Amino acid sequence: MFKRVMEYVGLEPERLQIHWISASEGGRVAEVARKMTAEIRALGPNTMMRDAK
Amino acid sequence: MKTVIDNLRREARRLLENEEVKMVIGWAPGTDASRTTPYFAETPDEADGLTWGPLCVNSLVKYLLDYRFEDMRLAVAVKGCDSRAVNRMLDDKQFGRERLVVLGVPCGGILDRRKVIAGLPAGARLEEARDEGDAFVLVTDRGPFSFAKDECLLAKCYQCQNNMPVIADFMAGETIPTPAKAPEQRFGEVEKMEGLDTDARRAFWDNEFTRCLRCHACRDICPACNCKECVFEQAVPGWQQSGIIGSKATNLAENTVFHLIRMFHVVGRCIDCGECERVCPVGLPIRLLYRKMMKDSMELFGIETPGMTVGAAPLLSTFSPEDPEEIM
Repeated sequence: MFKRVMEYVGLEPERLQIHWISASEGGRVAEVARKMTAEIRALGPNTMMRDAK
Repeated sequence: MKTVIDNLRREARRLLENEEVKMVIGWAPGTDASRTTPYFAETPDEADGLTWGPLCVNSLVKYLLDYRFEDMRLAVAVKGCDSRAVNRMLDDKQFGRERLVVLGVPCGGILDRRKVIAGLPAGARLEEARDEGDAFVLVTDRGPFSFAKDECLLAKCYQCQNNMPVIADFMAGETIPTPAKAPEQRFGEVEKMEGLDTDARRAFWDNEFTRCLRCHACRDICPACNCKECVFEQAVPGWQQSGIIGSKATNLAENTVFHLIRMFHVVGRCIDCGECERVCPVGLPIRLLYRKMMKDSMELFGIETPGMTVGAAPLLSTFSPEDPEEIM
């Protein structure tokens, strides 16, 4: 539901992902992290909520 | 409407005379014809100051929190939407049912004050408000003025869930027709927003949130916001707060976070009374955000509007193995 709301206020849906990975699946963590990094890099830097400080 | 007012005053007077309650919270005529003001009657004679009409926009339920730790019985007047707040307040254990007398009024819709101002001559004094089915007639010292219900009500009234209170110990009038229109379009404006692309939605909300003053009026009026200490004031310790107004930094990022967090704190408890949007000094479309959340929780979890019944656990404090897991 939070994801839906983030999309509603204009965040790209790909930026927020949740994966369920067991502590014994080290390889899967790396794989998911690599995939996610590539996807988000393709989107470019997040410009939302960048004006703090 | 006259009989409703008489019934309300009579019951308030009776409660105060018999010392069944210490105070009756209701509405009274305001400083001009288009306004009413919250009114606190503590003596039987003061009960005659109460009024009711299509201008009684305030939800009075939040005032209960001011007396939540005191040992006194109170009576509060509610219209349909406000009564959901009573249920929520009871469910959140913020006020004991045995200390509360709920006076219900039948509501045929509330007039939008801006349209009333536009339709009344300046300085007119209100003498009587009449409900004539498809219009409200405000009788003033400069003559009667008619306001069509199709055009002049608040937006929330056209999406009304229950124009009769869902909880009341005393009803001041008979059941009357609801002002709601086209229930299948209840979330029409939310769907319109969902239909836009990411950039357009982003531009819309950035434009709105950037105007937020962080006055926290939306929080202060909200019947779901009943924490003694608000999370937004925990960031700066209490003894520093008076000095550092800057703790509520108003930039777009902070404002966006504020609105999203507050929204998520009231999900499943927000009753869609629209008070937040009414009190917002810069007119942010807060309901458009909160109603998105309500639409999603109805679609995903099949809940009804919070506050319709007593004893319904709020959405975020329940779990079922059948809950959808669409982000996993």
